[in-house]
Amino acid sequence: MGCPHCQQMGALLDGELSASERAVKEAHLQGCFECTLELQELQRMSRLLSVALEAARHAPHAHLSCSRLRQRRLLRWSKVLAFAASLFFAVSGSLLLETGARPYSSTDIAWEQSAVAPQLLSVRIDSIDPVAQKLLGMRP
Amino acid sequence: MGSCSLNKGAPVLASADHGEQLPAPDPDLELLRRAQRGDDTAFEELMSRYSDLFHALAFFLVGRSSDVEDVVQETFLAAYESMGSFKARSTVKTWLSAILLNHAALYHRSRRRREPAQGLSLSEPSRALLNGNAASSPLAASEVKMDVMAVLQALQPAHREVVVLRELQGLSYQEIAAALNLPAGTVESRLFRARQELKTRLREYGG
Repeated sequence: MGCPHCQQMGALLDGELSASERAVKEAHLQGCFECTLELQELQRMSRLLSVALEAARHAPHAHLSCSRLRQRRLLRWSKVLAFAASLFFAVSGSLLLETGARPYSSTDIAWEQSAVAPQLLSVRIDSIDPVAQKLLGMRP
Repeated sequence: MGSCSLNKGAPVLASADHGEQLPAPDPDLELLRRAQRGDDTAFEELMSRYSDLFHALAFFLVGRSSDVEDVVQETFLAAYESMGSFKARSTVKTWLSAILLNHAALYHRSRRRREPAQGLSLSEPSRALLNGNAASSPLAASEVKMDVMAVLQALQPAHREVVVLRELQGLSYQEIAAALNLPAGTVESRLFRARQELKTRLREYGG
């Protein structure tokens, strides 16, 4: 594309030029074969697109109503909630599994054998009411 | 670019009392105002005014018939939910077009990028149109529709959007600038590049 006017053939076709600019371009078109070809090509392309649009406009589609839109919104929220719920159950399930399946580690053994653990346990048992201890079978 | 040709949006009416030029009431805006006050039938009327056009535009923007319904419904749902914040800085048509473009872009992002059609060859009716002849039968128009959809899918997204807004929806450069949130001067240059790409693709596919 050698002629600088060619770039504005689209704006001319679209009716986006002022009256004076349009007059200049139209006068130029009288003697410029390149711009004439460019304009012609744009017009044909435009025609192709408008035929396609008309065909697409006649394609059948569902009737739209506000209640349909509200149903869609509800569906969207239920999808979000379902996703959030499944995420919650997945995370809590994996945490439970991890806790339940944790092997008895050397740290646990060391803690039980330490001097602190029996004391803590005895304190907790002693702090229970004697009557309750009897009921629970912890005391004869 | 002249400014006078950009003001081709609102037709004017002469005021009976003073002979002043008053802008004609915009029916879309009237419907939206009623919808904002809770009148669902007004919103349904607005949807029905744009339903055919937006289904067609969505078809060319997303390129798959099966997803058109979703994109259009999401567009109108977004408009329904956000109509309270519409301040009439642009026309209702421009506002709805911007929402449609956003949803079409979301659709494209959510799906794996498809490669441009390889080995596509334009149908005979499309070639005839590009040679200056007419496509007469509905079947021919349907073939043209599929060709145009495939070619538009091969364009860069920014070029596809601007071609759809100008060539298919018939928006002015000013309206396109508002819909795409672009400076008005950028629209002309982008449209020029988009048309060049479209021409190249059409030639590539035998047009």
